[in-house]
Amino acid sequence: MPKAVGNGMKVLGRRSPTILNGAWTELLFWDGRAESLEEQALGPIAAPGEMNQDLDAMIATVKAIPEYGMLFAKAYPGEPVTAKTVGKAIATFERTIVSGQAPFDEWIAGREDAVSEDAKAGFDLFNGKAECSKCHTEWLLTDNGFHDIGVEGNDPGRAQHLHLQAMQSAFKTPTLRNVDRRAPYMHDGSEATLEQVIEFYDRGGKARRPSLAPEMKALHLTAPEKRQLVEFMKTLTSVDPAVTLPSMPR
Amino acid sequence: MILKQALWRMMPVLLGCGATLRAETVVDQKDRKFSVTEVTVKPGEKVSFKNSDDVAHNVFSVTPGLEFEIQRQGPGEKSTVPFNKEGTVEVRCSIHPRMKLTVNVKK
Repeated sequence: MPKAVGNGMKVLGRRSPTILNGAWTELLFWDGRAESLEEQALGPIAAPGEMNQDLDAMIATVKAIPEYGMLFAKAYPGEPVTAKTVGKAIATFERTIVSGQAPFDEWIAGREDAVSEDAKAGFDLFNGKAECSKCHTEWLLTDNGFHDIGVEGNDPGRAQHLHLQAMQSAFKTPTLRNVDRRAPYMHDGSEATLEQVIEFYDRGGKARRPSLAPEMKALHLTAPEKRQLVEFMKTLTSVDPAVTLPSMPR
Repeated sequence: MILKQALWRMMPVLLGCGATLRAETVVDQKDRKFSVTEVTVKPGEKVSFKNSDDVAHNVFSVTPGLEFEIQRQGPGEKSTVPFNKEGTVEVRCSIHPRMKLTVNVKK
């Protein structure tokens, strides 16, 4: 599903961003409109296009279920069940969704055979000719920044909340951890595969407009180089325990 | 030696000039961080923002009444911003919001 589906099965304008490693993220959503996970957690519940719930009514529903009362009293002693505590509870759960040790990490730690030779060459390209690391940096492979990378469309992105030209059509750099599990790609799901993503960057993005990040330019990658970059990205995926949804009181 | 003596004799004059010609305050941007988290300047003084990174930055403030925006600043570029009004200016890079700087403007 390229884009999220909201209230009344309406297809929304953007793809749902991953919550993976959200524990280390600030300014959440593709446009950075939420300052914290606690704030982010409540946004989709109340948004008319998404879950379209009245927060007061939602709290009343939660309060009417005795098991929730006990769970909240245990987790937040002395605090009433409010939107604030619900936001804290959801954010605390989200902070447990983290990626583990990937083959790339094992290779960095010294196990030479943890990744293929193609993946190693891909890592060189990632940091060199392809310049991916200018934005996909540090251990989460994101600068937590906002860039217009030239995805077509008129979504104002970050500029909707920060009225600066450079923020027009700028979206948050996503982490590349476990990236091969999250197709399709881009804020609108417009690129179906990692191979298509590399083609997108090789041509320096698609849209041409004043806000386009200056880092976006044609890369002139060869076919083997494109394949090596994809091989590298696949090494960023960890084998993590499955997240099992708890059975919730009703 | 004569030159040194002459400079030494002129020192009070040079120091006197210092009262009006303060050293330029330079804030560097390197590794997606400001080189300092806080600077203090007097009203009318300027702060220069230097980009020592290999990526663009976009330094701005939306502090009410003290707003400014350098706009996109490429690697190696330097831009100077006057701070004319007293106040506490919260400065950010719009591209890299973890870059945070406070400029205290006070007499």
